[in-house]
Parts: sequence; C-alpha cells; structure tokens
Amino acid sequence: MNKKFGSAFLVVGVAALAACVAPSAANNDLYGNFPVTLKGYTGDKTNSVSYSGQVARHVLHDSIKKMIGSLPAGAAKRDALLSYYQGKSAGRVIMAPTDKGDFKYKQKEVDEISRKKNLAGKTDKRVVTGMPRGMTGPELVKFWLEKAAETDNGYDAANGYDYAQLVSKYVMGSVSYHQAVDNYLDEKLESTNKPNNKPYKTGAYYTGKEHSWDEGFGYFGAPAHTPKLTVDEIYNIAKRKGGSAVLKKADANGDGRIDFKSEHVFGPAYYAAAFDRSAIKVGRPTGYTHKIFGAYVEGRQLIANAKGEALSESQIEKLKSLAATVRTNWEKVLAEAVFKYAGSVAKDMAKIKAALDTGNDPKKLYRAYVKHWGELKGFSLALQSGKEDLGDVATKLNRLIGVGPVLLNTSQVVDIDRSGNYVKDQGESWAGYMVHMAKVQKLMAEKFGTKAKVNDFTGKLALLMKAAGGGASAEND
Amino acid sequence: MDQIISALLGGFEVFIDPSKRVFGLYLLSSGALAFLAMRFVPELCQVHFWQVYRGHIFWKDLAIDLSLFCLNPIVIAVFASYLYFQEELSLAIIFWMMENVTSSGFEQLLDATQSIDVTASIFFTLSLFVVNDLSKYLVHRFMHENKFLWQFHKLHHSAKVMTPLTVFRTHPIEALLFLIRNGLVQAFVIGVSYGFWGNSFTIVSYFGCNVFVLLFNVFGANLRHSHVHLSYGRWLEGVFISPYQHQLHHSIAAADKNCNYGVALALWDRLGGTLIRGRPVVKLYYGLVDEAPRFGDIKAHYGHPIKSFFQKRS
Repeated sequence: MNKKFGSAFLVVGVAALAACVAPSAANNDLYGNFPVTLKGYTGDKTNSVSYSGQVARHVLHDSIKKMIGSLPAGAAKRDALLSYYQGKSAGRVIMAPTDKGDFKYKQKEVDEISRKKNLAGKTDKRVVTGMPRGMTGPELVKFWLEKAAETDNGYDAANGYDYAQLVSKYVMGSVSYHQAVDNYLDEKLESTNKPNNKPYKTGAYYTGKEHSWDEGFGYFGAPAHTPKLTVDEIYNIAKRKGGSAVLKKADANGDGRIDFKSEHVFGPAYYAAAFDRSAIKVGRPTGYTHKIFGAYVEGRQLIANAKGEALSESQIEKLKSLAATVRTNWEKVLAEAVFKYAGSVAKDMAKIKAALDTGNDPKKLYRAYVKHWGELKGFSLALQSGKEDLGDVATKLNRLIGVGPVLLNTSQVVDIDRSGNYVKDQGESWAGYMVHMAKVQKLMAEKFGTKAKVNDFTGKLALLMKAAGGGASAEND
Repeated sequence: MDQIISALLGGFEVFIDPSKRVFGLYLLSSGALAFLAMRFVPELCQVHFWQVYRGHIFWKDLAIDLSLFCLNPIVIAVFASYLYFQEELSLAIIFWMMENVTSSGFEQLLDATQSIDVTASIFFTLSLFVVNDLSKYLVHRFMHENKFLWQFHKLHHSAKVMTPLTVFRTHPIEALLFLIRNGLVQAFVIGVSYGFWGNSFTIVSYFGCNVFVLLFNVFGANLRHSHVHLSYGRWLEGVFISPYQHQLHHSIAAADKNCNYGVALALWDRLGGTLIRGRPVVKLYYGLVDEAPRFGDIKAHYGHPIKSFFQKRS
C-alpha cells in the first residue's frame, strides 16, 4: 500500500514538474520563437521576433572594417566606404564575414538580411568630446573614412592611425551600444512610447515593446541559441576557427550554413565572450555574455507573457531593471577592452624602446602599436556612447589617451585644422605616456570594476607596495 | 564613517600583524632577549623600570600612549585616503628610468610570466630596508633640528615612562610626514628596481613582512622604548643601533643631546657625526627638561605644537 502510494506520488510529482518546466523550456532560454501577440493580427506570422535591421548593421560594420584594410587608396574607396556607412542602396555585397573553410554563410548581400539600412543614421549624434573640432559621431566616422580612403590599408604611419580599428571599435559603441542602451532599452521602454497594445508601426505584426526589445537585443550581436554555447565556442564562431565542430555548434538549424540573422556572433557579443574567457583563465569569472543574454531573454518572455496587453507599471519597472543589467555589463565589457588595450599599448612601447636600444628595426612593433592604440581610442570613445554622460571619467580618459599616440620622435597629433589636416606638436614623453596608460587601467578598474584585466601591468606593482608596507602607520621609531 | 570605524578596529590589528613593531611575538622575543642578556651578559643589560616607576606618571604616560594609539589611526585615515601619489610616482620613476637610464630587461617589465630572480629579489628587499632606514634617519634628524618640526616631534620625547606603545606617541602631522616619506622611498626603490630588473624580482618576506624588518623586530626593537637598558656591546653598536642607544636619544641628560637618530643601522649616525655608543649601561631618565608638564593630556598633545607655532609667529 505504502509502495503504491509512493509510486503514485512520484508520478504525479514528476508530471507536475514537467508541466511547470516544459512550456518555459521551449522558449525561456533561447531568443527565438516568441509568439505573435498583437491583438487583431490576422496574418500568417507565428514568430514575433525580428531584429534583422540590427544584423544588417553588424554586417555593414564588418564590411567597412574589411574594406578599409583591403581596398586601394582613391576616390573609389571613399565612395565605397561611404555607401556602406551612409548609403542605403541595393546590391551592397557582404565583404565580411565571408566563407572560410568549413564556415559558410547563408547571405551574400546586405539586402538579403534587411534592406535600406545604414550606420550613419544610427550613430550617436552627440558631440564626441574625445576628439578635436566638436564633431558629432557621424561626422567623426565620415572624417575617418575619408582619411582611410587616402590609404591602401587604413594605416597612417606618419600620424599613428589605424582607421580600420578606430572606426570599427568606435562604431561598435556609438551604434550598437548606444542604440541599445540609450534608445531601445531607454526611452522606448517608457509606457507611453511604443506601447505593447499597439503595433510597432502601422502594418507590423509585432507590438511596440516586442520590437523595441528585439532591436535592443539585435545590437548585442549574440546568436539566438547562445545558452547552448560556451564562451569558447562563441569566441571561435566569431573568429571562424575550430572547423566543422564549431560550425556545427553555430549552425543551430543544421542546414550547413550560418545564418547571420540568428546564428552568427558579432562584435559586441564577441568581446563579451572574449573577456569572459580571459576572466575564467585568471579565476575571476565575469559571465558578461550570459548575464546580458539572460536579461534580454527574460525581458522578452515578460513581454510575450503580456499577450499583447499594455504593460503595467511593475512590468515596465522589471524591464527597466533588466535593461540596467544589460547596460552595466555591456559597459563593463567596453571598460575591459579599454583596460586591455591600454596594457597592449604600454607593452608595445616597452618593446619598441628595447628594439631601438638594441639597434633593431621597430617597424613591425610600431605597426602593432598603432593598431592597439586605434583599438584603445575606439573603445574609449565607445565607452562614452552610453546612456549616461561619464563626466570627469570621460575627461580624464580623453586627456590620458589624447588625440593620437606618441610617435617615435615624441610628437603627437594634438588637433585637426579647418581643412581636416592633422596638427602635431611636442607630445608626452615616451615614459610619461606609459604612465598615462597605467592611469587608464587604474581608472577602468576603479570606476567600472573590471575583473578580466587582460594585460594588467600595474597589478603587481600594487601588490609589491602592499607587501613593502608601512602605509598609514604613525609609528615613531 | 566606515573608514573611521575600520581604522579604529584596524588599530588593534597591529598586535597580530608581523609587519608591525608591537606584533605579539616581537614583544615576546624582546622580553626573551632581555632575560637572556641579564642572565648571561649582565653588564650589557639592566632593568631600571621599577626605579623610575613613579605611580601617577607611569599611568599618565601610558594613558597618553594608549589614547594616541586609538585616536591617531582615525585622524590619519582621514588624510591617508587622499594619498594616491605613491603608485603613480613609482610608475613615473620606472618609466623615466626606462627612457633615460637603462633598457636592460625593461621590455620584460610588462611580462607577467617573468620568473623570479633570487639575487634581484634579495637586492631589492635589502635596498628597501636600507633606503628606508636612511630616510628615517634624515627625517628624524630634521625633526629635531628644525624648530617648527621640533614642536611636533617633542611630543614623542615628552614621555617620562616609556613602554613599547610609545612608538605610537606621534603627532598626526608628524605621522603625515612619515606617510609621505614612506611613499617616496617605496616609489623610488620599487621604481629603480623595476628599471634594472624588469619584472623579475619580488620582496623577500616571511609572514608577509620584509625579512630585514622582521630580523630588526625580533632582535629587541620593542626594548627601544622601555626601561630595559640593553646594549649590543661597543663593536656591534657601531653597526646597529641598540635599544640602549635609542634610550640615550631619549635621555634628558645634557651629555646625551642630539645623538643616535638612526633606527636600525648605525652607519648614518656615524656619517653624520651623531653616534654615541653605549657606555656601561646606567639608569636613564627620559623626557623633556622644561616643557613636559604642558603635555599632560591628549588635547594638549594635539594642540600644543600648532598653538606654539602661531604664538611664535605673532
């Protein structure tokens, strides 16, 4: 009797558990296949998720970076770059990512993902205080693209600029991060803006809140099946490394090709995963990727659960708290990047100095230095493209990094004249600039709580000082 | 507020922190050393504590030492939190060295995988100890010879009865100077060491404490402020400052004025012509000849130097 009762109890228990878990498991952990909830919708769509416009912008970004580094200098290069940045014309081929080994991509033209998209319209319109002449975001990118078009590979050794890096890293912030945290997950979350009981726009099959949230997610650039991937796999998918094993992981629907619209890893998610990997290695796990992704999925589920009704104040508040999770973790990823490249720049400087002292040609080292400086500058401006004005943190960051790297003759670009020419002056000393890099790392650690701390070159110094002791003691020997 | 509370609580950690003078085991080792010396070389060690014990004076001095021990960390915490200069200064020196003095090994500075070089580590640890000791001599001597700074430092000398806690009898302004001195020394030594050895050195420590500091403390440093007169003998006192030599520095006898400013090494006093080696040990009286009564309580202790500074100005 007892045994029977026990078995029955177990069966009921398992069934109840399964009933609780099953429906949510279908949707909750992945970002896809959320039902159409729009009241009065009569069309044949069953999935309300849509963020192809954001994916198209990631592809435009990747393509521009590729073109800066590969097209020969000239007017044609300028036109091509601007057509991808501010044009909307049809027929733009996806220049990157392109097929490589086992990695084959479903779409070959930008329009196959989404039509009439560009980056200029979505670039942060505020003035970029970290660069001279009070340019807005779109003006700065256009300025850089025009400069890049005067070079074969985007490399300006005389002034110390790597335009592919500058543009790429800045756009990752001023378009993706900015649009997500300062627009879709900000004002578009207000109950009166893009309400959930109305279509996003006339004729749409998704509600205002559904699509706003989707667009915010799209800018992060993570595959819809991220929870099934480790950070190593996410990293490798972006890098197109690891052959068929990694391809299989990326190819969620098993059609043998990676669909940019839901299966690829783009810049912001790639960097999040890259720092998560580094953080695991040093035993200070960060979990940026899955925290950000998790918040997006939870928010999307909340909106789906509202079944096309307007969201209540408490639901809006919950969405805002999830948006804050996205925002703070994304911000940390950008701060980690600034931290890392400040370290790279300092390391490059030490190597160049050693090469010069031993009579070796520093040309290659200098090339790497300019590349890393471009990443540092780009990410530092990206970090300033968020919702909040970073105030004195931004001021410090911009002053420490400057307008250009310190060149081998210790001159430095300090301004841009009215015709767009660089103005150089005596710069920081080589040593002084390395101190700046250390201060940048310190600033990132203190203000944003970076944990991965790749290329940390002051950590040991701090430990040594602690061990040397005697700090705040008042002992009279 | 949190800072103040943690400073207050943190104050008592000095008894369990091996990098502090009054760490429990150092107090014990000082006692043991005194005991052994009295037993085996009585001519080098005498205890005159009970002879100078004069009831209320003992309790009064101890009360002041204890009050300062508790209050100073709070006062210091308030301004110590603003002193971030140390790390930046170190870096500036490191990079300046790289640019102007040496490049050998410098590219390894930023290489965390660099293995530790034993010679470099010993040299670094020793340098830190020696340079620190020199800086203490110079600052200490300056505190005595400069009229303005003496107003602050004489509070330390106002103790008639000394106990190991007298190390904490320090005016906060003086403590601030110590803080800056310490920061400069560390920045300089760490900076220069990086310049020469890149990332290949570390501090040689035991229980998290510089081994040389540890040795200094083990060998009776706590007796310096006490009535246990322990001499190291004439020859050794030309190398290291003994507790008795420091007690001569605190003595009110005119013959002992302006001597033995050093902490661990006697070299600086020898070079500066201020070394007095221990004679056969005799009973000493500590304190200030004329001004001692002015430092009766903690308020006077904090306020007197500032007051006297303005009085002299006006």
